[in-house]
Amino acid sequence: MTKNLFDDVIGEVPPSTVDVDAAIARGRRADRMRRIASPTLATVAAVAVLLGGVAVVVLSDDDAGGYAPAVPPGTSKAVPSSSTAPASDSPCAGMAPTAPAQPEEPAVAEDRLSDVLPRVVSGELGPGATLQKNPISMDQDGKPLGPLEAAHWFSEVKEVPDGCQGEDYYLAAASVKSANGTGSVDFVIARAGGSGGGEEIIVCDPEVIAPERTSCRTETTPNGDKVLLTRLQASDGSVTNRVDVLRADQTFVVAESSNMATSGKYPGPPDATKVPLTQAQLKRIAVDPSVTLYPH
Amino acid sequence: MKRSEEAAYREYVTGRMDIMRRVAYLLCRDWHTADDLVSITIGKLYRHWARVGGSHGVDAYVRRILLRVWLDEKRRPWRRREEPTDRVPELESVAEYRVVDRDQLLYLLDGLPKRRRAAVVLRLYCDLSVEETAEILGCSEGTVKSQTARGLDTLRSRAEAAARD
Repeated sequence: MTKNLFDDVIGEVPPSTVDVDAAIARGRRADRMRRIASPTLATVAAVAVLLGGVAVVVLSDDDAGGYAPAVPPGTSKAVPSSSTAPASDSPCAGMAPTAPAQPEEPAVAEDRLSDVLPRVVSGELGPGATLQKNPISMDQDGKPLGPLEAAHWFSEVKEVPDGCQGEDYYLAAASVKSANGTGSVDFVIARAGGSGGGEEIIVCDPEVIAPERTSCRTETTPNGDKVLLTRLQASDGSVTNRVDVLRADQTFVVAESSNMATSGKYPGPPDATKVPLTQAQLKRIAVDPSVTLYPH
Repeated sequence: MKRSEEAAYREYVTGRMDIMRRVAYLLCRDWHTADDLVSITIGKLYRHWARVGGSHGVDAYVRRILLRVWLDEKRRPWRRREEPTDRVPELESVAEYRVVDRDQLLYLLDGLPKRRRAAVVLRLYCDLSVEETAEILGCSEGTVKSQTARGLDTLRSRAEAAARD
């Protein structure tokens, strides 16, 4: 048989280095970002994430730079990054963040957030709790990351046969080890608007509450930060506290903490008896002046 | 993705891992690259699993992703060098391939342009029809036939040269 001849050519197959768990972890991250994929679909998408529902965006594997010249927030008309902005008549035009371009290059922002996040989060953790490397935390190239080490995920916004694709955000995650077991904390930080997420996310619509969402409320801080606080409970017992914040400076922050060592989106029984960070703690972190894409 | 869907995805990917790696290896002829191709492919599959996971066409969908990943023209500019073909010969019979030994086939695969190699692998290893191969490669059936036949021509000429030596 011809096929057998090809199999002879292939010879002995070496052990696989394909990491299915890593692919799933990356897919879950993409799921997380679907929530903020489109301003018009954002509310539906938020529920889709909670339900594990349909995708409204696919994310590219392309690597490219996403830095645009700095425009100070609040002092100029919002200007999306030139490299992420599709043509205005493109069906994907709404995916481009509307917040001002970052004042830092992504690598600088990665370094700064990698310094800020562990410090701010450690200040909220209980005695004896430590941040550890989260096995699902990696950069866009699949390189493992340290505890709350931030990585910029970027691909240009463009139309593809299945819809639109494009991403521009920073991810950071850590496991949290304490006497209660091992939980986790993770962050998504993006420029607001378009795929970055905006005001339409900060809602508790009773018609779109997923079964897993056991509580939901919104509030606005004295600084004008708009906050959505939710609690998610999966059927296998994992619990996730989640806070979405549309900051007044146009940074959109998603902060999550779960009683799973990797993420609340992973199946299986909890790895800790308590969620490491409460909603109040996550909110304090997410509105901290240093957790921003527009540092002063 | 729902957890039940994710379990089905994991089961599918795990079950097809060997054949995906083999096809990827035949295309790129390097196990490290093959595993990279498969990793990217299953990542893309995850994103679309809710839509394609339960369909009969999932295997074809995966092959299409794998091919497109490999043929990514942004990173692989070979496509610009490819010559269009006017001649559309009939596909040679599979029986003719049976005279090929392992070394000759290796030599053939290594020497073929990527798109032609893809046509040979899809037609003869994956046992796809001309129509299926054309769909995956995004070209006409005639082009598939010519690509496959050219691959065979290359093999034949090299085999003859080897016999003369």
